[in-house]
Amino acid sequence: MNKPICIIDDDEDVRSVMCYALEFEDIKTLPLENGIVALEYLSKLSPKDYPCLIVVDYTMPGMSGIDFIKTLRNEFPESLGKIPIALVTARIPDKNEYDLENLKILIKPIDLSDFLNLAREYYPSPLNTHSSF
Amino acid sequence: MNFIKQSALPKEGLSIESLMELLFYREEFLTIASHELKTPLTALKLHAQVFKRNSIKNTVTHYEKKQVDALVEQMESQANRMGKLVDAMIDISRIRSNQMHYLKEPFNLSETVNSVLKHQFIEHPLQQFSVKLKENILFIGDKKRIEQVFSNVLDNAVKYGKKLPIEVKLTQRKETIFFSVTDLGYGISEKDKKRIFNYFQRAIPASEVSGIGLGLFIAQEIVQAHGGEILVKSDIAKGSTFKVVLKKGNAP
Repeated sequence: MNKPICIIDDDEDVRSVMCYALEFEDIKTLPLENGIVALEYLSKLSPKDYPCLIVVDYTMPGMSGIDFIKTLRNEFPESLGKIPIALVTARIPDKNEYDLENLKILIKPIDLSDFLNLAREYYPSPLNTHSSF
Repeated sequence: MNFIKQSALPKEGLSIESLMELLFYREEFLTIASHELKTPLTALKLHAQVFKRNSIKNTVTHYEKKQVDALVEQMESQANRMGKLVDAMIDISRIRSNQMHYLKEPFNLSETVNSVLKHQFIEHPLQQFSVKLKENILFIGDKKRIEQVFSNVLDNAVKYGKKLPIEVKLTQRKETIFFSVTDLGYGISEKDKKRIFNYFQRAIPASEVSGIGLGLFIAQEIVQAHGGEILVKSDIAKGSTFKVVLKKGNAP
């Protein structure tokens, strides 16, 4: 059973269409409305329920996407901090703002094929895993 | 907690420091504007591409009518959102070049507030509003522009109000009309109170609350052209009251 892809974006329209796009490909989603809510929710999950990928928006109330990533990786280095993350942003953040080596970046406006390709890296298509189909 | 009066545009004869500051904010504005446009653009583009992908895969026939309705509705709302941003940018350019033109027509201000509120109720179904309106207040001025003022002030209350109830009042004392909006959100520091009416300025960093930083600047420009003013009263972490004061017979 594949683990869901977590979408964190305070903009309801963007969050819902990102989930919608994934669900059309039979990819399970876990939508959360901002970084603060997400930290609280994710920290209560048991590791077997962790998402396979977190896609987080840069601009959010209370806590920016970058701050969310830093907190997740600093506070849970051995558990949640190991989950792959993609940052959604309208511009490429400065190198000194964050070490981007371990981060995928999706530039707005996101292209569906880039988004689905990224999702498929972490959420294999059932067609690929069950050759009999 | 005192009401403070806000001054309008920066005056002529700017120092090098303030010119540099303006340049900095212009840069910041371009960054924010592109971000703000790219968010609805992202939603719109993804919607269109999902639809296209499913059309090619021939699964589009599996859409139920209500799915198609929801999809089209959302695409329209993204386009409207972008339209609003572009309008704000055009307004700024008009204000800067003194090209704002105002109509002078009598209208029912109470009805205008009602119609703006109706939009807010639809756009923010979960937001609580407590409303006290004096009926049938008549005013002479530019109805669409005054509508824009009320809408900008309410948008801010929703945006910075932390989803707590918002109080809206429309009252009249003699020839003076008061439209006030009170939220219980972030609040504004003394220092920021002077800043937020300037263009490209916001009290909360763009990385935390999205917005273009033009709403209050445009609102103040319109209100001043109508011979009125916008007052702000706020305590940090307790909330803010924005009061639009209009005088009858002071039309542009």
